[in-house]
Amino acid sequence: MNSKRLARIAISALLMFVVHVGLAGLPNIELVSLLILLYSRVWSKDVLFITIIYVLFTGIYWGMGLWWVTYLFVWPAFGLFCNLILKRVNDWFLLAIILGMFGLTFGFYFAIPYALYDPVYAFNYWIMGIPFDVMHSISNFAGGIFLGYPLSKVFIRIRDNSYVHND
Amino acid sequence: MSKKMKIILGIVFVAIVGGLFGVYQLVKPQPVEGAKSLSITVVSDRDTYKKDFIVHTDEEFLGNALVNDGIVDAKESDFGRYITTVKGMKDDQANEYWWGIEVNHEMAATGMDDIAIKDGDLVTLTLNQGY
Repeated sequence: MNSKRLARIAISALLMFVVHVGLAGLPNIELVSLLILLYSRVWSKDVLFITIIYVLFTGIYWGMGLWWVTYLFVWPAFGLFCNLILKRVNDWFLLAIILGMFGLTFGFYFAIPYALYDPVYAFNYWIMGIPFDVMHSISNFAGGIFLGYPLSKVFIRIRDNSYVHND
Repeated sequence: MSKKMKIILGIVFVAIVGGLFGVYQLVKPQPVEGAKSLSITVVSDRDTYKKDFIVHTDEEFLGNALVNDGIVDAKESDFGRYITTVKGMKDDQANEYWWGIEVNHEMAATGMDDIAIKDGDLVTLTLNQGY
């Protein structure tokens, strides 16, 4: 792995983290999912390294509580899903719907660690978080529809001018 | 993807989102009207404090019942109000101290303003450390 590629991974993860912190005041409105999708389309499998570093940033910044356990598997898994499947999809309406569905199921993933020791609490936790999941879903869909295509053009231009490739 | 397919996908998406929100509306705890007595236990190991109180209220949700009675102070956030102080004992974000709520020995899954209360509920406010 050359130094430019390492720098690209670090900067991409940092950008995700900065965007996350910048939008942290808005409940469940984020652009991290969209960025992961975009990264998978231009940086291919490096999206996995980017998500892992991003998750480490969040743990260092906010503390590694139980919520962070969910982060440990949700974001890399979503990166893997994007890299294996979504990067081949070019219809931004379909991609926006998939982003929306990811947002809608987000609270469910957070309930999983709780389910290991208290399934009833985990169920209540998921149910009571549904309004936030709905908000998350709508904002993810809107992000995909309005920002997905223009940002993908920007990222492709950056990739094509960077002369840094994965091999 | 054809326009017709997009319309179908869009309708399915809206139906799933709306359906899940409908499930939430059906399953969420419903508020109860009328007078209630709540048994409140406050526990703080940091302050070596444990005491029981009885709160009489007509409120339907725990947040107003606690704030109006003067037991707690709360602060607004984007996710609703959260408890900052109980009986003069403050949380401490720098050292990761925060007030947790249990109702009838079950950890609350929401903030205090979304916890519907009924007569005889046992509420425990505990100062926890660590996120």
